Amino acid sequence: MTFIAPFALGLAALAAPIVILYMLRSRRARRPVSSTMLWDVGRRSVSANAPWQPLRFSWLLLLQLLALALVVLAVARPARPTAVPLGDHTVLIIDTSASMQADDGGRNRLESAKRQALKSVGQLSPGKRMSVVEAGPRARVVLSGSTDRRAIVEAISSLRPTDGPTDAGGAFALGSSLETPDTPTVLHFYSDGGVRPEDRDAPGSLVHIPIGSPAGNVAIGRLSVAPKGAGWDVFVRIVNAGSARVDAALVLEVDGGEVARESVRLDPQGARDTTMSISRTGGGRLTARLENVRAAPGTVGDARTALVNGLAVDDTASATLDRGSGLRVLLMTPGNVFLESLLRSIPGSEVSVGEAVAPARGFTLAIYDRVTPPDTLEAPSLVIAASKAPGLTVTGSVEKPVVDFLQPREPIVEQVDLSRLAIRIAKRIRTEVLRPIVAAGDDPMLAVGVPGGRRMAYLAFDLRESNLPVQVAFPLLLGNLVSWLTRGEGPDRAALVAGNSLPLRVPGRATSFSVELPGGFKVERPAGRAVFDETDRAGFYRVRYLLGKASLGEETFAVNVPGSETSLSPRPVTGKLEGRDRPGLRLSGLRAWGPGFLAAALVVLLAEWWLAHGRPGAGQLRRRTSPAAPGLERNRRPREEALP
Amino acid sequence: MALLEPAFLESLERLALATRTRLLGFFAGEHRSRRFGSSVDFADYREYRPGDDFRRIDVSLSARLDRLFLKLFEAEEDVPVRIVLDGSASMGQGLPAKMLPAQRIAAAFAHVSLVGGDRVRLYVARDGGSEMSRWFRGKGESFDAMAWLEQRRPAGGPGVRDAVRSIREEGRAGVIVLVSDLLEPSWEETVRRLAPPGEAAVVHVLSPEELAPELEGDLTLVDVETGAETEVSASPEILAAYRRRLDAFLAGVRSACTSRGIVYGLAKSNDDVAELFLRSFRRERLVR
Repeated sequence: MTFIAPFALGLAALAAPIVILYMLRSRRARRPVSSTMLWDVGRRSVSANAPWQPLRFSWLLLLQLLALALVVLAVARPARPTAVPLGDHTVLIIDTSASMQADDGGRNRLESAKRQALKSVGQLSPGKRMSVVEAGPRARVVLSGSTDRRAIVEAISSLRPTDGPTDAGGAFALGSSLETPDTPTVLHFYSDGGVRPEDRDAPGSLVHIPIGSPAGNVAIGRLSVAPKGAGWDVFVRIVNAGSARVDAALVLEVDGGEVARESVRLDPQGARDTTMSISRTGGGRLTARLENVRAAPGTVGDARTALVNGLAVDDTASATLDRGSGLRVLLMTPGNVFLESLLRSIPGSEVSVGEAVAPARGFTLAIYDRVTPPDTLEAPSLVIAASKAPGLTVTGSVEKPVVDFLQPREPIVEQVDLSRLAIRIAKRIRTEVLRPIVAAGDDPMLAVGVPGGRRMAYLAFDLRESNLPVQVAFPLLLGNLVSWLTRGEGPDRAALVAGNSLPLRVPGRATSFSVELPGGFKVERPAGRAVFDETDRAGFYRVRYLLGKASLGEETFAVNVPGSETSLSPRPVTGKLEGRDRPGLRLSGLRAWGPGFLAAALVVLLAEWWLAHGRPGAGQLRRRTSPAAPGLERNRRPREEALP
Repeated sequence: MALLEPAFLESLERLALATRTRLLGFFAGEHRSRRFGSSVDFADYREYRPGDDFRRIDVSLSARLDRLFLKLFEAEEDVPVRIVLDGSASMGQGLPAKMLPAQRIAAAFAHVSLVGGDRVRLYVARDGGSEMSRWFRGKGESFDAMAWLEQRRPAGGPGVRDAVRSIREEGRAGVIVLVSDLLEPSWEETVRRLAPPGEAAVVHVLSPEELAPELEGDLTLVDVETGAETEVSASPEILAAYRRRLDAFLAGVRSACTSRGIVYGLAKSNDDVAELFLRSFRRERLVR
């Protein structure tokens, strides 16, 4: 056994003044009388010349000393070692991503994680340090290397959930950076495991404390819009990450007014793509929302009672109806009506079509459909079924390839369903430069890369030799590809997720810009800082560019919950307690017994009070135990013994 | 269990309240009236009520009307008798506590009065006021009066001064019997307010420990009614000084009473109440 606060044992010295006061104490018994009016006759103390009384046995003194001992023990917090792996320095990394808002037995997962972390704080040995790192969209150190329990508790309590993903890799890096050579450090990661695959292999000395239990969830996985005539086509992908068949209502609203509604039924672990048309000539704010999500009739067994929609925040997605993207596309093709019509549907796009290779300089995007591109690309390019392209070699063809691989967590194919894709024939390519995104066996069907400093995507099959153009996945995949190919340094405007920086286009004359956050709160930043990344919440961010007080224009960004947060099934993060054998690494915590001592002290104090005040005949006991010290009878005698 | 034993009640029925002046009354009783000069002049009849002295039933009138009637004489009207019992917390002090003998004394006075044909109202004074009973009439209600008294418990601060004042402010003459330890600074005002126009009697109840305290060592005495504390050292000198103050207090109370025509009697809480009534109080002319 050891003590968490051994210095508190010094409080035991208070026993000395208690005993001294007992010996010095005036032995003046309190006696109730009918009236004191006849007793104002003299106050000379008969014992004034004997201030020190011999210490005699007294139950009251014994109980008081026992109570003091218990209080001292409670403050000193005796503790026993436990198997909790706490190091000399323990970094508590707490996941604040959107999935941590999921219901976890009456509270959300973040609250559960904070409780677990606070338990670890309670087991912290004296002199040991703790740090707190938030693993939200942007990892940050909340508290660095503190031994102050109150500060640690406050740091943990201050964490709030975000609508963004988990930057686990950044958090692990931050946590590791807090380690010093002479202080063995252990990282505790409190998370439901919703992290990127590359972050699953955590650094050494990390312990993953899994949070949450499996739950179903229904989410709007993707929302995109395209102008169609005077109106808009809205593409929505709804995902059911649960084990129950689910019914729901999909509602579209523009600027707060409902414009469309559709009932949907989703199979377990299934998704549904739907296209809805809205007739609206102007722009606006589009919100898609799932309502009345419930288990479908006929659902039986555990699936019927299971939680079908554990996370509410991803039931809503938003997009801006904006026709002015300024996209200039050079399409070189022998003829492809699907491709051409789809490109022309991109808001504000300007499509130039030709059959032969043409200079692409000045275009935002060049598309070579069955046309061989130049060796040096002049613009970001999409190459489709060409027999030659930079960064790859066409070695032959493959018939009826079956797509069996999609790069996980890849934004280009995120929420793109290629399970029903059928291809008659495709080019067989080999490449060391491009990264396969979609593949059939060893044959890449879609690969992307940056050969020669230009972004390029290679689609290995002729669209006409597949059923892709007639699937909902086609506009989604092409939209993702265009976004990736034409993206500047900032993120894609149409696919912003919580935690992304807003791709601001701050006018050169602007002195500042203000941002109205989804909750209505406004912040203002100087124009010199043309980055705004305080996007922890999903919703609309309205940005106004200012010259002094004058407005130079405004734009609105839609920020959504990332699809990586849809699945609520906790997944393990592989941690390795590296250095378990390292000298100085303490892999045990302490479990304190303090509260029990406090309760016992309270009981003893109550017993002391009862003995002194309330128990009939207490005076007899006091006299019996301390016959020569009537002064210890400081209290009212029982009624039958009352003296004047 | 009744406050008073049957044998004692029976012996009380031979006693009557001693009144020294003529009193105004309304019903048949045994007190002399200032309105009527003779005690044998016939005044009126009234119907018999339970508790009335059956010896006063007019047999001939009752036989004629087939109902019982009482013959009233001019000189024998009843008086209202108000018995004020000090119910403050100090009456719970002493060994034995003063409250029980005080209740028995009050009950005995009530019984004597009711047997004498007087009407009786009981007051229990505490906390600057009093709790009062209904009027009891006739011997038959003596047990009701005892039951009412028996339920009272000592508690609270002093109240006899204000109780007596409020009774006197009613402006009605009668007999007031005060049973109290008078251990409050305003005892003189209490006695002064008891003085005529009505008749009054004071039964001063103290415990043996109050009359002869046996204390040792340094003590903090706590006034049970006010919470005031006084530190004393129970030396022989201090105890002697206390006894001197007590004697002066008792003498002062007795003198204040007798000088105002108030009958005074002292009772110890361990005294036998029967002995008090049959000997001491007769000697003190509290009863006759």
